[in-house]
Amino acid sequence: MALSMLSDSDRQLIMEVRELASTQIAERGNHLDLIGDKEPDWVIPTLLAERNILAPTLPNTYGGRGLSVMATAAIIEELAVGCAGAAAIVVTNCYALTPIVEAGSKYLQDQFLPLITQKEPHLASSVINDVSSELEDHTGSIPEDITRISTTIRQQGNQVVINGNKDYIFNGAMADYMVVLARSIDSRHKSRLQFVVIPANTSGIHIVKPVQKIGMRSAHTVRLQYDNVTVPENYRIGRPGGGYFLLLQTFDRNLALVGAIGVGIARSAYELVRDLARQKDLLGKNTTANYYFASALADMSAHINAARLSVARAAYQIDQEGNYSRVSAMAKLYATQVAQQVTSQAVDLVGRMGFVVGHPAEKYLRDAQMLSMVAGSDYLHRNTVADQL
Amino acid sequence: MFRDTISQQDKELVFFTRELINQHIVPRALEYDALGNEQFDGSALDILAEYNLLAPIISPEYGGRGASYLVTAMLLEEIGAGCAGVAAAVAANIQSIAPLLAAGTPEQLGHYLPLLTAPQTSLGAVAMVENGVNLDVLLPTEKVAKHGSSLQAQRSSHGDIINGCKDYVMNAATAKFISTLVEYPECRDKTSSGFQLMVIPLDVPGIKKGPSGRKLGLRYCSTAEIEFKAVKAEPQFMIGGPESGLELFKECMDKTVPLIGAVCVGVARAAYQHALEVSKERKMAGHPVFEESAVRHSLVSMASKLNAARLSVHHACWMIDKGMDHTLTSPQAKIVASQAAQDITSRSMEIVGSQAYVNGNPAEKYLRDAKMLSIVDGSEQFHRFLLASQL
Repeated sequence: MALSMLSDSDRQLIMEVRELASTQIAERGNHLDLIGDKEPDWVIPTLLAERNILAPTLPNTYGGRGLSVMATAAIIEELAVGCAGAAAIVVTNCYALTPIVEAGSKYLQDQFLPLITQKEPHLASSVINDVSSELEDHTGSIPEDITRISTTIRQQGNQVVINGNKDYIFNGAMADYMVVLARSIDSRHKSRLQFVVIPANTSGIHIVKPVQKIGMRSAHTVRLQYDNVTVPENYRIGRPGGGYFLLLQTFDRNLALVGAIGVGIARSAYELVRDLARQKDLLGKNTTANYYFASALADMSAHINAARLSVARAAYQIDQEGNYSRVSAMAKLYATQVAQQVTSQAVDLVGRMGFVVGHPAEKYLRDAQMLSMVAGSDYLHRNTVADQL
Repeated sequence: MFRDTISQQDKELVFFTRELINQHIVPRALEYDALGNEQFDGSALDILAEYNLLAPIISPEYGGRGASYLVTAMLLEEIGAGCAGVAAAVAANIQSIAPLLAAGTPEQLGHYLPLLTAPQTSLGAVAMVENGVNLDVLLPTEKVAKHGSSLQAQRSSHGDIINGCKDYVMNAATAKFISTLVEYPECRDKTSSGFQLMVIPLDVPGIKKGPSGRKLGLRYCSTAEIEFKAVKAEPQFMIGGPESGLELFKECMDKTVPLIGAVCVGVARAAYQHALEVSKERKMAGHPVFEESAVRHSLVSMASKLNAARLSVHHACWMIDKGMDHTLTSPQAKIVASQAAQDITSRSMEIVGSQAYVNGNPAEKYLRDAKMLSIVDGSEQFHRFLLASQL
């Protein structure tokens, strides 16, 4: 359905991305997965920038491809089949750019958006998560606290000063600029939140350390510290205090893409097991051992299809400017759950070799597990959906 | 997404059906369930017949509404949300004419289709399942040789004679005709499975209806055994060429199975809405249980699954309407929808709480109906098998 609604050129692009993802991106992704994510790596962003798919939704006026969200979701799915981290890089860009596109001034849009569409790789970073407390290094924040921001923003003449610590920032060390969520220094209310653009070369930004994750390791992630980072006043996005709604809208407009990563990971795990079953001739024969494989694969394919449709519906609603808030979050929740189930089952089916470091099945498992914590935890989104039931 | 592809008129028909069901069927759904098929009450079907909703898929040429599979799925969801038993009767009706729509002769179409579009209720029955044996007919040929069909035809000089028994015939009590799969054992060889699809009027001599069985779910949809004793197979009974039955049967199943999925979506929707309403009313320690995060999160899971199941069903129907290859999407839709229905109805029981276990609470009816839906028209396991052989 989704594919048949796209234009021929979109479909062709998707096929190109599929080709790219299954060869160069998958190869690099697997390599990075093995060596860990201590150092940023530019190979995948370079490949993506060459094809101008670092931010596929950016309008043509900024040099972007101006793709619909539906086409973007299909591209993200293809990327995630190759390497979930590559898809995460693109989705992080989308998260970072959404506040600028939706509420940024003309000046901000002209200054920052065209960077991402150049031939050389330029990334943006969406900086939302706070470090919960300096003392509790290993406990982290409890999940619903994403809007309880401790990073502060303070007016000083015609400039603003940002102070605070941010954790788990995708693209943080590689980005040209960051879109940071902070709160007014004088209030803790959600109504005092503010997004602000900070160019990466501003003084006072410290990369504390890389966050060494066990999934999506090709997407480099860091902890950041902002120490009296000063930017011009007009780098604020939207009205003062409009940050909370902008944050929710950023989620609503991009959650479907996170769901698409889930569909991609699930598909790659499914295809792995399916090919294995085909090789061993385990499908369509009615013996007990084969039935185990066959029924598991049938379930996987059915649920992946349903997850893809959920994502497509959310993307469709966004493209139509319909009521997308609830369906986006539902698509993310459903696709994430399917990805986690399918990858876990894939490890089961592959057997003990699937649990050996370096086997694709174990990488899928780890990648899928990340989906329920990035871009707002499942807990947060369940609550936002529940409020709309 | 798929809703936007149907015409305004069809959208209005769906909303009209929702109103109709809310007005006439919802208030009596529990009563229909309690009466069951032992004391069959035709009033629900009479209402649908009055508005020509017993087989909306039939083209206007034969007096039908000419609804696409997608629209039919939406209508069945609405009916299923009111009472799944009624929806199952409609789905069985559509199943009974599916072989005719695929390969019926103009005479057969002209004779049987107008029956179902008339303002008086008449139903078609469908009998694919064997007495005792299951849907093994679709397994590889060596298996068929062992089981075969229990309804067998013998060629003789006076024409073909059918003997045997079909169990679990949906709509058996009131149906005017039956679509069934008959085996010609002597025709079975390496190239042919020896099956012939037939449509047989139920008033021909030699056909005997058994008593209605007491089912746990879909109780409104009457189900019984039908016995064939030396029934003469007339040439006008045959659907399609001789021995093409198995292929035709599979083709029809691929088309009707998403409709059972649509009924699942209907039941799941009703169960979800019931749980949502109860959770906002029912209080625990002075607060509605909806405020409990466990209940909220459960409801969100239900809503997400319902959304995904509905999209799978609509996708499968849309593929059929577009004439695309739907042999994968149809069993996928059935699997996702019937799993979602079972999960949602059982969560609904949990949220409603102890009251749900009292006979006559909507939640327990939804649970029973959902379980039954996972079994009818090929169990989930069966469709998994069908699907896996194509992966």
